[in-house]
Amino acid sequence: MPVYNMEIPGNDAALISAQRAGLVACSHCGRVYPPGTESCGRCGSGLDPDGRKSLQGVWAWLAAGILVYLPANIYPMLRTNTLLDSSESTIVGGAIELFHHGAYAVAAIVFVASILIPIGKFLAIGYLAMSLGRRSRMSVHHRHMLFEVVEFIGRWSMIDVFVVAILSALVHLGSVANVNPGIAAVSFALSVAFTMLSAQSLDPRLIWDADEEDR
Amino acid sequence: MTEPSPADPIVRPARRGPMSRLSPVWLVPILALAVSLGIAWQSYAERGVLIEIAFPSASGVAAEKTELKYREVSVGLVETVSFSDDLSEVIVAVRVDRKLAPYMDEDARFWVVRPEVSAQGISGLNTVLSGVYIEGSWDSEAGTAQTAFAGLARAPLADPTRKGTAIQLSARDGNSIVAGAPILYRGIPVGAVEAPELTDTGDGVIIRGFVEAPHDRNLSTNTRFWDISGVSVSLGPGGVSLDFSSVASLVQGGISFDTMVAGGEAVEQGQVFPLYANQAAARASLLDDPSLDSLKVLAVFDGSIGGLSEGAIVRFRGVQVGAVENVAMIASDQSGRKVVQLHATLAINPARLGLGEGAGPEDGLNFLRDYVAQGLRVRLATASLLSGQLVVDLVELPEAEAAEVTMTEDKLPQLPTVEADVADLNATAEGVFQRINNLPVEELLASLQSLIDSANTIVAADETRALVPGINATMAELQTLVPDLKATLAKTEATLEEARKITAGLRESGATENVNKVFSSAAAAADAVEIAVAELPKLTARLNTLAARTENVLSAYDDSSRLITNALSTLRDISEAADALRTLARTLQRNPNSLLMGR
Repeated sequence: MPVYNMEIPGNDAALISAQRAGLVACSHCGRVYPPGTESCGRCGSGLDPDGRKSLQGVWAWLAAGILVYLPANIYPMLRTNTLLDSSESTIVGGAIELFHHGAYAVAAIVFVASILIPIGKFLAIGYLAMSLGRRSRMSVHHRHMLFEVVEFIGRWSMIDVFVVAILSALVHLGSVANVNPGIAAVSFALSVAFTMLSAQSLDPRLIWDADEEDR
Repeated sequence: MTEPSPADPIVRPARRGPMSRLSPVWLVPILALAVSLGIAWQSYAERGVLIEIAFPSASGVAAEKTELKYREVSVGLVETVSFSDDLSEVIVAVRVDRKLAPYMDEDARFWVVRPEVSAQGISGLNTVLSGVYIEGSWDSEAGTAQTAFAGLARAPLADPTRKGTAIQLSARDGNSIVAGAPILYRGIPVGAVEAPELTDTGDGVIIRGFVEAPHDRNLSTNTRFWDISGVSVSLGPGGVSLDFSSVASLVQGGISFDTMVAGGEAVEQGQVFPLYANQAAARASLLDDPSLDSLKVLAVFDGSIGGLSEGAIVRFRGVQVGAVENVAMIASDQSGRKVVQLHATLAINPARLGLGEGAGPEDGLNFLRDYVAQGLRVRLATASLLSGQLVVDLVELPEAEAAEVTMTEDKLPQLPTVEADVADLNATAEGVFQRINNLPVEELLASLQSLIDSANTIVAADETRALVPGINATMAELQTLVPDLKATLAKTEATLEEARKITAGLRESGATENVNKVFSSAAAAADAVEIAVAELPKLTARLNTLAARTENVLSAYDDSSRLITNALSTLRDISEAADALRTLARTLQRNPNSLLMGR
């Protein structure tokens, strides 16, 4: 039984992946099985030899994320009732309003966190998922970096939702002022959650596999 | 010893099936799509109906901000504010609740609520902070929904959602009533009126009003409305009384009503009521039941009826029984001579003649026929000395010539008339003053003076001293003069008394028209009296000198005591007469009108 020393860095010539060895590795515990095995005998998780299911998950969550991102932008995020009037603001509308009021920094934060990042994430995940099956101009390293960034930044997209949640919890002053979350708040939270799940579904090993196929 | 080896994995071959290649995660986007579509469909389905309201001006109405409220609950939001094609109106597009849209039929009304300060108070104060809103009002029955409406410039008076009765008041003019003036019932506001509008014919105004439930149950066909606007000042035995209802009614007018007689019928929506000038008029009007026709009779007068106007009252034994409806001049031929007669049409309320409720014109006519046979005549009388207003009196003159009610060509019964006493009075008063004027005061004074002159000459002459019989004769002459003087005074006094009586009569019957003439002749008479009287002091002075001289003469002849006593008493009489004349003269000079006033 050959011993693969995976602990020694810089020894990648000796490393081969399970796929290359003609085996199926459990993505959860690392045990390898002969191809065709349905589930891991050690930890019980399902085996996915060519990452097809993983990729399907990525696309499915991404689609769901994009779907709920639409109402998040169409419907109002915040419903503000004050003594004088009531107003509803959407994400884009709020950012534009802030910009008009001269709060450029805040407007920029809202714009980046609520529009640029989610859309960038959609694009990044979509690009990564698409690049798995074919040659890519971007190096493996850069694709890994992109994947890490997407995973890291995902949680920060919830900043809008947090603001809405905190505001509506704090500002309940009876008839004087009230802040209620709109439909968009729920949609946006769902969208962020779906995108995160999409990023998590992406099995990074597939990037290696695609890379190895290139060689 | 066997090396521990991992348990043999259970190797199960992957099942092959059409669904096995699909990840169940695909359910998530499908679900998300379904939910999103559901939300989209729901919000589309629940999207309100867009209605357009045209306002003359829309100050304060802002798109996406101004709300449409119904009973103070927001039911819509203004979407756009634009102009009509000819820029004459502002079109406000409002997205209203789908559930309420069917109720917005042709009776829906919309107006902009703004803060308003009026005599009744401040309204719409909440809009100062929140901005204006559009108030809608419609009834609770769904009709054919409309999408285009004309907005009102101001809040309507009658809110169709409030129960009550709409009324219309007809008045001669709308001077004192301002839109929003309250309708009061026993001092409590129970409704309001809109601005008065001219009737189509322009001969009056109609004031639309609204009496809220449940106070509208106090309305009946017997209800009378009267104006309580402004201040009424009345001068009565209790002094001056100033009367006004409330500050609001002072500023914008007000209308009060009361149902003074029970038994009226229920009113309908939009019932027309007359508006009376004051409560007294409203009360008086109760006696004319509008359902009963009044009896129209004609009275023809030959003389002038200046001062008789339409609406002048018709009295029978001092009680108003009707009014003059019409005064016309009719030319006719009478035995070949053109004669102009004045025709006054009198509207007499039969119920007021004591015939009881429900008496019709026929009953009234029969009653008048009987009375005319007994001597009932129509006569003009002066209602007031100051205004010269005439009234028509139905007087009973049993000694009058027999007459009866005749029917004219127009089927109007004609009542016989008699000459007003107004005309005779003038002649009588003038005659009296003529007689005063004709009194021979001047001749009397002239003869008196010549007498005294001759007496003076006689007394002054030396031979008189030797002529006691001459003095005796003079005394006798003087003695005859004194009763004459007394008679003259008595006559003057009687005349004055007569004048006083006449003027008293004049004051009572009072004919202003003639009073001026009377006054002028009285003044002329008084002037004549005054001129005559001016001579009186001279006369008295002369009488005094005469007396003094006579005394001197008599002192020389003190032997004849009887003569002296006689002469002295005569002199006292003369002196008394002179005093009386002086007093009269002074009184007349100070107060010439005492001739008329009698004091």
